[in-house]
Amino acid sequence: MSEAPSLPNRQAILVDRAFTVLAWLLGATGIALPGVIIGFLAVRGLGVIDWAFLTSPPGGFPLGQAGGIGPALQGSLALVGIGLVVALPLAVGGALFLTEYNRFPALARIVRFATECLAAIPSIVYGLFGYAILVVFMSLKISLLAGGITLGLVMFPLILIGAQEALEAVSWQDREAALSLGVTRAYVVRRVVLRQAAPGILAITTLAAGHAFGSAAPVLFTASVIFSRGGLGLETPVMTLPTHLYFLVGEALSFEHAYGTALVLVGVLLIVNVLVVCLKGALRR
Amino acid sequence: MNKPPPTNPPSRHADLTAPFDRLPPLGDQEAIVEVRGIEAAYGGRVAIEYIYCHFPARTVTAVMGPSGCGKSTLIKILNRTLELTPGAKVRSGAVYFRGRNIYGPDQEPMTIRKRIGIIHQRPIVFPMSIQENVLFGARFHQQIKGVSPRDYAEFHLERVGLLDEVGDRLSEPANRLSGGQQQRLCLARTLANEPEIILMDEPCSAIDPVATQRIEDLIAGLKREYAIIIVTHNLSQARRVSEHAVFMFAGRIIEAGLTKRLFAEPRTELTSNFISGRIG
Repeated sequence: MSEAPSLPNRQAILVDRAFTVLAWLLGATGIALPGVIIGFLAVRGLGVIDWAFLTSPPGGFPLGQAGGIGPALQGSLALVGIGLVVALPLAVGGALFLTEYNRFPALARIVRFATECLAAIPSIVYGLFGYAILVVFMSLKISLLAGGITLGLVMFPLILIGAQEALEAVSWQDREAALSLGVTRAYVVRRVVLRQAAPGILAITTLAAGHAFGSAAPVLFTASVIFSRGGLGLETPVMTLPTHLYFLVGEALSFEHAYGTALVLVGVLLIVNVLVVCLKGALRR
Repeated sequence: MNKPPPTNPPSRHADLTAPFDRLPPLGDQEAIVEVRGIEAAYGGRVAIEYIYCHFPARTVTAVMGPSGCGKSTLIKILNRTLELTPGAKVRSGAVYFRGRNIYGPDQEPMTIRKRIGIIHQRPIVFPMSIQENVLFGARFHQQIKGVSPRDYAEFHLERVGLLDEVGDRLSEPANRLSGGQQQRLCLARTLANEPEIILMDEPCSAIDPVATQRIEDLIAGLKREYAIIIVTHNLSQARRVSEHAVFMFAGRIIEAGLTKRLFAEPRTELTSNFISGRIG
């Protein structure tokens, strides 16, 4: 006679259910948090956003109560662009050296540790460093160039760490298979390794650029001014979105405009992130 | 006057214990590759030692043995790809390819790897189109002369029987192909390099039986042009595809000779145990 199937452990099932509910709750919080923040900004700030707000300089008296954020948007994008020009080649080059060419594991560990320390430095310290070295010592003055380089320094450790991880994720067998065809390491890096790592490098670059785009501290003493009519020059200062937001709230000029500015800041980051997700998909295909 | 049949390495290696200094003759074909006294290690651990053997031209030689016996290490030594593995090193010995030691000071590993191609266990296609995969090495070595890149790729895909299957989608990413197709693509990529020898490191271990059959058919066709050295732990495959066989155990060559003879009359107990399935 066969035995009746034994009942599963009741306590284990209860624990499993409790764990599932907890996982759902925590997961939902993770999704809800950005949703609530963006929703709040949209409710408060959407009213002021129109084409004129996005393109015209701030106006009114005190300055910022009317007008728009055109020069700030322009300035922030230009600063991040210059920062990327500085940080991306340096960071990806450094990561390539560490993963593909460096023969001393100890060196890789030291560089990695130093880079992680660099990534943990508060952005205001970068701002101070940029001011002391670039603005004063190198006489770049408070300018787009000085701010861009400072933002590049902020992005550099993040991109280096991420690029190194993306490159290390490319399997050793892929490199072996390619090198077995009698080609040079540089050829393999260019045609196989970088292509495999591109989505990962792109993802971390976007994250770093987003972080830089929203940082006020690094550009506060190196690039930003309260008012600009727009127009960009490497040697001229610029308005930026985060510092403009800081002035609007700090001086209690216009909370409506502050929310509008914040919404644009978040919106630009969202759009860039969506574009990058699409680009990553295309690269993977 | 009749030329005497080629013999094995001369007696200057006779200080080594038998049977490693006197392998049975492989037959009457000219040896294209000859291995003399190779010892290789990973880190400090010796993987293979006292390796003496030779591989004839236009013949399939199977390298057999249980897992971890050093088969893959041996064939990677034959085209200087072992040194791509971090920590792996050929400590002593020589490999003569057409009479020149490929480990000599004047030898460029990249040239050796181009002339002696290798197919790996797992098919590895690169993140690019089918056509660009085929042309990967050929473009670097500037092999494509007088024909269009497409024609060159198609010619080599035809050789591995892939053109009919993928001819209309050469620009698609290669990772969309099935495992068996990817392995044949890897073979086409190696052939496009115009090598003189093809090494295969368990080329069928990651693909299904039908795909395996196709690879074996290709081997039968390709041996008319190339020396093929195939590592396999599959005895039936060794019996089906090869004329010569080398049996390895624990990092050493135990026995080598004609495959038929090795299976019918193994000369050592280890070989006998291996081919009867008692070890491995």
